[in-house]
Amino acid sequence: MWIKVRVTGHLIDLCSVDEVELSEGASVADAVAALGIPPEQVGLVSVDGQAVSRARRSDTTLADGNEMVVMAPLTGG
Amino acid sequence: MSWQGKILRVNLTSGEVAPEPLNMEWANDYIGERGLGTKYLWENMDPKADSMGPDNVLIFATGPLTGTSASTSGRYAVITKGPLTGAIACSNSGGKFGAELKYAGFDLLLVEGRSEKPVYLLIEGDEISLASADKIWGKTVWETDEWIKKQHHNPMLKIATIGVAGERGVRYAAVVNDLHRAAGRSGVGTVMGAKNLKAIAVRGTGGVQVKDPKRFMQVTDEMKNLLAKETGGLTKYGTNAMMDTMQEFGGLPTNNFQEVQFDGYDKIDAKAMLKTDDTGHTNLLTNKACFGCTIACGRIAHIRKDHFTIQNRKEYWHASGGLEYETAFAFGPVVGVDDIDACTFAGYLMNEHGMDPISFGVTLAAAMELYEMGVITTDDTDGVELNFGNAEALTIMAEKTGKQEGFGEILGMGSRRMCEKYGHPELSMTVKGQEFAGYDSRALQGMGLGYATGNRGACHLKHDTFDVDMDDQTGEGKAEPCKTSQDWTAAVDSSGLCMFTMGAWGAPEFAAQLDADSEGDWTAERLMASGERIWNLERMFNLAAGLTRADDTLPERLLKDPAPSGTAKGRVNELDRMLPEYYDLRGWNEAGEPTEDTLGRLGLS
Repeated sequence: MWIKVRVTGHLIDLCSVDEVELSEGASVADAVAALGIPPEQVGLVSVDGQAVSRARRSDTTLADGNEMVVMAPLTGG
Repeated sequence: MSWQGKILRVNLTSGEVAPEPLNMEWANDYIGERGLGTKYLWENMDPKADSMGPDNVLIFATGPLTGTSASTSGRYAVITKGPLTGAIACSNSGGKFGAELKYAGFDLLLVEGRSEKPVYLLIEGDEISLASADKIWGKTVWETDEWIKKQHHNPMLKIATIGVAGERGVRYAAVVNDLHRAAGRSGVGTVMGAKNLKAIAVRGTGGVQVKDPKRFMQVTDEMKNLLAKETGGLTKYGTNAMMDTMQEFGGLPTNNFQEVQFDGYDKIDAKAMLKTDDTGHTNLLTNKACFGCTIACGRIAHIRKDHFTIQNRKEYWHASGGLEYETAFAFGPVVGVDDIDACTFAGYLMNEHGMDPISFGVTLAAAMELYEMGVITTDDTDGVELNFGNAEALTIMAEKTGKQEGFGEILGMGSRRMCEKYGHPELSMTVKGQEFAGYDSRALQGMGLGYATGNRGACHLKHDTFDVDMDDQTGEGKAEPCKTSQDWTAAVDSSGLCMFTMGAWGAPEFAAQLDADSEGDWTAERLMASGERIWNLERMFNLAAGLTRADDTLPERLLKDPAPSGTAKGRVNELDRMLPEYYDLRGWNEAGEPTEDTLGRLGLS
């Protein structure tokens, strides 16, 4: 299956693709790993606009055509 | 130790300028900078005094690590009673001024009274004097900086000054040092103007001496390496790298917090600053570091010469301070503008005239909502159509406010006073009278608690709940990280180092540097305890000034109107749930007052 991907902030330096192919039943954590983004550098992932907390990344499965946004951590400005 | 052991007391009423020994007992209890300045303020003024009157005290305080070779050691803070809020004001700046003050032999300046005529303070070698500012009163920050250096034939002077905004009572005037670094928030420049103090010019050549030079060099070197691994994103993109994250998250305040996402975000974010347009123009020229900093998050930008803002104004055809996240938010989403050159120009104007961009932008946003509601019209706004998204209106009003002309005088009142004047206080996006930064607290719940309990009013820099707020968008469990990070941030703000190191350094890393720098057996635990003491002393100042629990709140828009989109769609801020838990954790009673036990534990009885 194919997942559409956007990344924010400095994560653009780690991931330049806009979609990723994953096996059926893959989780959000699998997708982040497939993109090569260290999980500790991820502030939040959303799937189709819904937030997926850190604790739920491994057991939240993706479906073909999902839009996933991998957000950099916020730091204050 | 890196303390010089000396402060300078400046009485503007009598014209007397007198060095005094630094109170080392206070330095040991309150670390330095923000904490030490708060203690000096507490001991030297009545919190009920008029913030704009001669009895207010204005303090410029360095930290123990200011001016050392530790990374980011250029910090100093300005502490006073704030004219926006009537609460304590503490505004922190980088650049080179703080280190220069230390090298001139002073840890802290304490300014009291009010000069009959405009003056500036000169500290140059052994010469310390108050000089007439007649020739620079009415001049911009940039003109003042140039004039003083020429007047004293010394380009090495480091200058902290106000612009016309501070002279003429804009409630959120800044103290700008080194041309475009600022103690920007809370109107500390307004207090300086009310005292008829135009500028402070310093040249110092003394250096500092740390306690254990060998250990200090070793530990600060290790810390720089650690910092380099964690802060590369800030170096490359600056803080405006957060713009697209806030957009996706749905916490980007738009059109005076009516919305939480902004369609034009990608025209003004960090990537847009790096993009080269079809004429070959790129907004961002380079980055810039403050004194001693190995991050260099500062942005240096320039504006297209054919842009309407500067097309016929060659004096702005130069590089200057560029957009950071808060300025991009304040000139962008919150006023609905997506013109990067207009936003950049508005930033220039803030530095030139000496104003807080956050308070200006959020005040303008409220005015735009009043305009779109029909409460005010072009009759009020000098003929300017004040619709959201009007980039020309943004820059016109920035200039009018800086110069205090026309409707700019109204905008200079700040959002709360302006909205009350027009009978719509509910449109003011403020806490205690200070405007919000660029984070919507329906999406970031702990941020809302931090805003509500902020001792200087709404502020994103006095606590750090970003990580827990992103991961969980409810109010559950937010009181503890809010309280703990408030205490920790108070310690960091008192050290002389920059809070942008907090992503790489925790309390043990700060303590290791401080302990090699100064006497006192500094540990992580002692730093945290000192931070809690500082937070509570600020609270005591506010309670003595007349603030109450009722001031620890948020505008109804954030408490009752659900977020219209984003990952927190449908949520409101859960302050009612978080605040009692927060008071309990703080050891405060239901009225928000520290109990006797708490005061005793912190040595504040």
